[in-house]
Amino acid sequence: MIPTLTIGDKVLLALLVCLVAGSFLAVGSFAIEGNTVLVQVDGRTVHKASLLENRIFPVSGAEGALTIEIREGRVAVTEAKCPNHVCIRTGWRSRGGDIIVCVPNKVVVRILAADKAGVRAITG
Amino acid sequence: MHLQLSTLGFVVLLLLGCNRSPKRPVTRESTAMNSFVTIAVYDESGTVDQLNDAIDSALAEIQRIEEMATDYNDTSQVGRINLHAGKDSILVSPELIALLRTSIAFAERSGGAFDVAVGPIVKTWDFLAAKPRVPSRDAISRLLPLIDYRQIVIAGEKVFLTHKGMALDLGGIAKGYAVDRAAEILRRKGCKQFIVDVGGNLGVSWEGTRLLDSAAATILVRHPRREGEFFGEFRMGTGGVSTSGDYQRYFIQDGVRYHHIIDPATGLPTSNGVVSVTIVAADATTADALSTLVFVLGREEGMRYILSTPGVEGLIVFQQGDSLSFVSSAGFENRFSRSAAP
Repeated sequence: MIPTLTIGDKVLLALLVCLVAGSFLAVGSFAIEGNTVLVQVDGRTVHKASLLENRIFPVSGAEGALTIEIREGRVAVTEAKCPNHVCIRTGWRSRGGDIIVCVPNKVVVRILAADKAGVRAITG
Repeated sequence: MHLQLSTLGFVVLLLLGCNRSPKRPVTRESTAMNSFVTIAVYDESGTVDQLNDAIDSALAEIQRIEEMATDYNDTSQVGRINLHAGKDSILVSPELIALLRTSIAFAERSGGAFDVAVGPIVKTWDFLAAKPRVPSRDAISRLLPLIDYRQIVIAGEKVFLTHKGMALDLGGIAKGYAVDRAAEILRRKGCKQFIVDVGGNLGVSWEGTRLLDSAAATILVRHPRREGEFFGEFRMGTGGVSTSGDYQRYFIQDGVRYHHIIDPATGLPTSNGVVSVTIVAADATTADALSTLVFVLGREEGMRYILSTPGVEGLIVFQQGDSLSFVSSAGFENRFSRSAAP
């Protein structure tokens, strides 16, 4: 037999539904995080793009323009006005936590890591 | 009323569950020393502005070390020493004198496997050039006599390189030193839990922990042969970490891979089967120098060096036939998990 709900019960149940729905949304946003590309110039974020959407876009670096290409879930710097092209030679990156750096242009392309659990760092 | 209480209890539990997610660190990124720099502070005390202020000071410190130690211009302290090689002794800061003495001590203990006088050879190889080329054997032979840490003369606060053409290159120790200096600044500003990362040279500081006796952070070791993958991971407390690998800077000419870890004895990329070395030490300066030094010494002698150095643990990855294998010190082995092979 289902007991009659009081107004307090209904308020608490509504709160519960909101929390559960919210938690699903939160999980969804974490799941998508590994598919997000962040482009920063001198520490300032200038682009945030999905890794799942093919596109080519220019970025103005400290020394000149760079071209960033997102294709089939991977990202690369394909053109850059810098002396040694380390950024281009880094090639295509696809994993959460990967970075491409153009030091002369002060440009950092980073794939946001999906895993936020714990304190982590990379050596090598 | 019964339903209200049980529902309330569930909501409280759910909220507690939500609170388990780790607090996000205050993180800043920059570029310095030809590397990507990240500082992440995990302290729960202090405002974001205070933590940002501490990080600003730490980043400025890394910049200061770069300006002192770079050999890419003639105006830095190291640049002036190099410019006046064979001619004059140069007055430098007590800090640089101390760093040079530390470097020379590593050189002496390793029989020259680590040598900050390696500058002329490194410049000749020029791994940062747009199209690096293998130097001629003649060019390398001519430069080899200049690669000798014993010809670095320190008198008081003056440094003299005895032969024209000699040049210091602190590339094997300066990043680790910058990590330690930045960590010191953060500590002075009251930060207790943080990671400083200068190009994979890490300084981990976690109040109440020591090197490997308790875990503060998980450190992922890059796979030397599979881009974007990790060879394994280990947990550590407060200390420094550095990895030297043949995959970090290299070029391929005529089908041969030439990497940036030069053996000072031959002037050529070290060729002893080692592909990467990860060192964990009490400080990042030691970890940085030892990762290069152990790489050059090779698998057996390098591991002997690690085992005979108090407070140092390490992992040596080497080529064995078509696959990679590894050896590690006992203290490291206990904390290391190899990534599953695909």
